[in-house]
Amino acid sequence: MRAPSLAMAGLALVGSCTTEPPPPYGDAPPQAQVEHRQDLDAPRLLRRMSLDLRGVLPSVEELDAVEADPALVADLRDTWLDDPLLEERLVHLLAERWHTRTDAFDIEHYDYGFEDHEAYAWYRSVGEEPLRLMARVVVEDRSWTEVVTADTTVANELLGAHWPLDYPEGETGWQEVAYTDGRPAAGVLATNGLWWRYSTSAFNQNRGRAAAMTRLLICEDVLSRPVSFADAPNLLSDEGAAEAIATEPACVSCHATLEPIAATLYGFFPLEQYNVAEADTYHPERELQGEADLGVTRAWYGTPVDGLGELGQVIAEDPRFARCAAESFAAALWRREVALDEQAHIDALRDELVLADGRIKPLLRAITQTPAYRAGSLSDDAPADLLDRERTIRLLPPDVLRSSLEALTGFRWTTGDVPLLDEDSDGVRILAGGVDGEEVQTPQEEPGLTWALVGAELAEGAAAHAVQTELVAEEPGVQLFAGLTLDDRPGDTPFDGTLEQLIWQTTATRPDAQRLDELHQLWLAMEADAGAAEAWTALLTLLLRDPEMVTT
Amino acid sequence: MRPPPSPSRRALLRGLGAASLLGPAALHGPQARASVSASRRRFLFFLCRGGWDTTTVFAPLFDNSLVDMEFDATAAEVGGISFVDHAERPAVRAFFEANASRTAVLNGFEVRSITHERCLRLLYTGEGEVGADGWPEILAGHAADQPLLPHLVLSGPSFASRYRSGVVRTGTNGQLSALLDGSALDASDQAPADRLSQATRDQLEAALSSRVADWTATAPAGVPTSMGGAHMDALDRLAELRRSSALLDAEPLYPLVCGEVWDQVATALTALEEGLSRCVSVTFDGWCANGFDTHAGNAFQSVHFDLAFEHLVGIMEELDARPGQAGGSLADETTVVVLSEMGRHPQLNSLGGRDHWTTTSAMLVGSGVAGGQVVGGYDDEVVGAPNELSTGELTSGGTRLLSRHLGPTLLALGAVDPGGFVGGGIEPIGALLD
Repeated sequence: MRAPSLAMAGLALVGSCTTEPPPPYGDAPPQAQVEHRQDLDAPRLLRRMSLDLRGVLPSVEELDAVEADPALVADLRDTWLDDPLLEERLVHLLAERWHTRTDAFDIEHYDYGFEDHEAYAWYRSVGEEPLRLMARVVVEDRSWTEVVTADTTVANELLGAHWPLDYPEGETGWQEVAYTDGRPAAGVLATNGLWWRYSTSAFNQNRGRAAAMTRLLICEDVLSRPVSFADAPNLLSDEGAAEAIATEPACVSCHATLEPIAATLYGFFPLEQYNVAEADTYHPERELQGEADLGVTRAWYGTPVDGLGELGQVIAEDPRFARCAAESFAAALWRREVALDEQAHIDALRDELVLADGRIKPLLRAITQTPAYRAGSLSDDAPADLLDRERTIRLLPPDVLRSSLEALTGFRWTTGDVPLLDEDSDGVRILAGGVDGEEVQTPQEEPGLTWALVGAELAEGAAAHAVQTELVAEEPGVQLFAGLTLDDRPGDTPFDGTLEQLIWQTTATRPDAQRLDELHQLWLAMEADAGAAEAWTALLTLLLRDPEMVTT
Repeated sequence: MRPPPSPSRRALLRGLGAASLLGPAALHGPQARASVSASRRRFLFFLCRGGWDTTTVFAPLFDNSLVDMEFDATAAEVGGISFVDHAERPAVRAFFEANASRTAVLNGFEVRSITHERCLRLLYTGEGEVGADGWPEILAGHAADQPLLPHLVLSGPSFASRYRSGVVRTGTNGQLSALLDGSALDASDQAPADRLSQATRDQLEAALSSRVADWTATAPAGVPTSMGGAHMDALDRLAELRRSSALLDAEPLYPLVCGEVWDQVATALTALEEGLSRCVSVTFDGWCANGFDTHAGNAFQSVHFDLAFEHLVGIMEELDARPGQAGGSLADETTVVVLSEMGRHPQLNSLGGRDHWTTTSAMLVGSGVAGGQVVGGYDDEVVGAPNELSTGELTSGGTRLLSRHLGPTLLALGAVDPGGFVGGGIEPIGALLD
């Protein structure tokens, strides 16, 4: 890992919020980063951090604590960076960009003898393999460079049973293990999961995979360059095509970049695209085939490499690798693309990552201190481009809706154990605003019809489950209604206290008297028609669909 | 890969039968049509995914020795449309015989990439920038009558940013209907014993609408008003959709055997007929969903095309049979846009397939289309021949067509000023516009 740029040191960040001390890595942020932005108040900021880092709402006690002492936001945030929930949350956050959590691959579930009801578990296991490795690197505070250099992967018992892995027999769960088929140490670049998502063909010869690598690892989208066959003469003859690749600028720019990278991936090149044995096993004997097939020397942007293992090391040393990590994690937490005029800001975040020896947790900490992350509103005189760009309010992605409501109410919206908010064959992930990595590649930013519909059904299911469990059956549940009975009515302490606490916990906002009165009147009207249990189900449904609940 | 099918010929029989009964004058399609204003025109996007081989139907390049044409195919012409004819693709001929007068083929436009994902983005957005809206989304966002489901996506991609809230996906397995009728929750592992009564639900929805309105009105500066507005709009549209949800349960027009999308087509047509949508999108992945991406075994293109044209015959028959809103048929008010993200190499590879090619074709059918013609063309190198946009005349000083020309053309058909959506100097292909 190289030393941080001195030129960049002066651009390091400072959060604008008064609730926590300035970060230790710089003096002042660029004025443009602070100007026109106002932070969320401490409870709402805490809520945003909790949902972003853990996928669950903060507890009432945590909200109470930061309400009394806003400086505790930073302490709790630091605690959550070590929370076991961070790993699962990172898997979903990374999936929005890496697009590996798809519902289908070239190799289908029945190729391994799975029944249809086992398809979801299998496809998710495959797609999550590279994501789990990256998340494990983060939560164990290892250098991000291991993402492209590790000699292990992270697999579960399904993958362990079918792929050449030293997964311990009889065990279950996601564990760090190694492939046994001779593949080099290259982190995610040596995972089946990545290359099943970014498959190749005899025609493509790993070029698409190389393009995916440059986009994901150094934020350079080679495929965004225009490719015109009309500008290149004689492409229909072999000689003409060869000459175009060698001399036509539009051809050269892609081929010269991608083919030396593609040539390093031939251990993953399948002789038959839909053959299981070809797809799940590495082929060391093919490593040199790429140079012959593509007529290039294996290299990364002009630096020769002797194979995939060295390629990973060279990528790790590429300055663009750390910068891309900073940019992509910032975009993930800002919930938007990074703008051109924010590049200096990204440089400063990159420096923070470098100073931390490539560990991502300090980077996440620094991002949560940026004005763009903390913004809850903009000043009246904010320029139009900032108003258009900044996400002062963000929709909860489907995975956070799922996990937060499950933690809050105990409700799991599944069919045959398949979470409906997590897939699209029969589920509603896209309809809820999510990303499937194929048809939809960016998360929904504003409410839409199907988003509202999914939210309505999910909220009613969650509310009904909690009410039935705790108030009707009087089982322990998750203690959402602790101390309340169906006999309590507005004005009774248990009723009023429960309602206020539910609003506080779900929105991190204290309700005013008018709001409480409105809800009391609503409950009474519904109770008169349908009884207390249904009135509570409806009231909780309403709270779970509240605009301050479904956003951060 | 499964063996090629023996597809149903029902569409052929329907198409030829209907045309024959009406006599020669009707062979190439209806002549007189009720007019509809462009602002009320609707669109059905039919995407043939995978990159089709234009030499199978659209590009009869038999005179070009550099092109590997199908050996037993022939050049044909029906009603001003020249195409590649083959005995095993009767639906293609049937389609042109029934619809040539209202069909325009656009040949030789370039989608400047050779990867599927990038080509799709370029095809639908022109420039391909992240955050750009697709043509269906823009058209739907400018619908004159604010339909309930502005762009109904039955399957396939959508590219939306500013107009994302107008995109409504059904899910590929009836998910939208299952959500609306409650079965998605009722059939779940922790299904509620009882659902809320309608009276309670009405009270709940009213309270939520009021709450969202208050929240929107009191939001601090810089909180996008579009967020609250979109939330309100979503709730309003949801309430309306619940009242008309049965419309989304259209039965497939014809049996689903292997890869047909008659179920999606049925819902799409219903949405258009009922005025629920301005744009509907259906993606066809070929016979048995094998896709048009035939790097090996190019013969599958023939099977895929024939089945695609069976669908197009059926779609046009249904559009003709259903009433529009301006006194004529739904066909008078609907433009069918038939696309694929890229073309295929003019020469067969060693596997008997064809690799990717940046130049391709598209087809527009129906309302607003200057039919009975092929616009554009392929030069000796099988890339786009320059043409005069307003007339379609091939001329060396003309414009070489790109995917970005398609957008302004579609926007013009929909009465949307393309100025804010495409780069400067990109004009519609006027020759395609009636």
